[in-house]
Amino acid sequence: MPTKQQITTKVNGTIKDMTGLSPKPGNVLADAPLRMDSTSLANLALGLRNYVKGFDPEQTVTVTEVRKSGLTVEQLIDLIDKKLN
Amino acid sequence: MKKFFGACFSFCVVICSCSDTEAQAPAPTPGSTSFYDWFKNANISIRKSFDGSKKDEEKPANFFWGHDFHEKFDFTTIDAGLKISQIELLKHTNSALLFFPKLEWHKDGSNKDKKKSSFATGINAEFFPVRARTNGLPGGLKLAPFVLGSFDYQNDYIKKLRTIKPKGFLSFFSNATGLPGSSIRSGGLFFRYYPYTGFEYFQSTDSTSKRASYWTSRLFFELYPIAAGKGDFVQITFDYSYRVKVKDNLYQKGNVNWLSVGLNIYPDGKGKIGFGLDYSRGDDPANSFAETDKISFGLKLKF
Repeated sequence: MPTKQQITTKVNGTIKDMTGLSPKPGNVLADAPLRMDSTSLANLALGLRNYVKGFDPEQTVTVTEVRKSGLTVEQLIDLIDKKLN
Repeated sequence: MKKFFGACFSFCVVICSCSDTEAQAPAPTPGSTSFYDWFKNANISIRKSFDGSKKDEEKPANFFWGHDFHEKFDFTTIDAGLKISQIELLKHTNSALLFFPKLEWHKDGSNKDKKKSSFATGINAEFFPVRARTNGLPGGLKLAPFVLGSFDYQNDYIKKLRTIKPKGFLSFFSNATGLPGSSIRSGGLFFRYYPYTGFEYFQSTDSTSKRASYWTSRLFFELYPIAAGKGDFVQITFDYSYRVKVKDNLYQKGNVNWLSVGLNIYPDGKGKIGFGLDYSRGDDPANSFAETDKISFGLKLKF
């Protein structure tokens, strides 16, 4: 299983690729400056689902979880870490 | 009535908007959360409309109160959609399918001769068959398609027309800058757009022989023109739809179009309190394609 640092690197890298910005832990995904809309959050969820299933096929990441209102980058990292560790 | 805005001043808009995200949070604890938090935790979103396309989710609900000084009458304008929870399927596949119920109310009394009032209920759906390509993750398409659909029942109280309205739209999303859905940034400027194409069908529930169908093309974009730093100060939304008539013995119209432009200014940079200007022109799809040409201005509040 990946370490939390590896998960952090993966999540931050994915968000940076999608938004063009290096995310900070406290950034809310849907708010400025990241401004990820519902479609990009759905795509982020599918990407992280692919990542999680690469380690544990029984686990998954849902769109509903990633679209959770007010979800921060840090909380998303914790969510993935909780599923894998 | 003459041009409604000739001597019209509309003021005081209440715009309620939860985040455009959904929550799967525990039930709110009375006294421990704000009204805004309660909305978020209760899985409820309020928007201008949930008209079968994501573009409407970026617009807050409008509650305008106004007075026409030329014609000397008061009026209200309401565009509000309520989305409650969502059901997600295909949780263990490479795709995502979501459904959510909704309620919508659209009312416009600004034109004495062309009042509008309709209520609709229905189910919206989002289908993401494949994700967009992302660096560091295998698979995905550079330009990923997604489908948005809805099935509504609408009651137009002015025209006394009840209809069912299934519709479906295809659009695309990409992480590659410049393509639909991507984050386009230049300095502090932020821009994003989506094209849509799809089919809309309208049928009267009172007379099944009365129906209309359109092939619809849409373009939506949102622009944040001022460097926001940590917040959102100015948002501009643009939405244009052109409907090519396939068949119509319901509304008795040919091809129809609809333009909606919004300017939202939030001095606090938090998107909670601000001022807004909305301009709409064309055949209003939320009100049986009633002809519309109006501009409204007011105070905006977000909760």
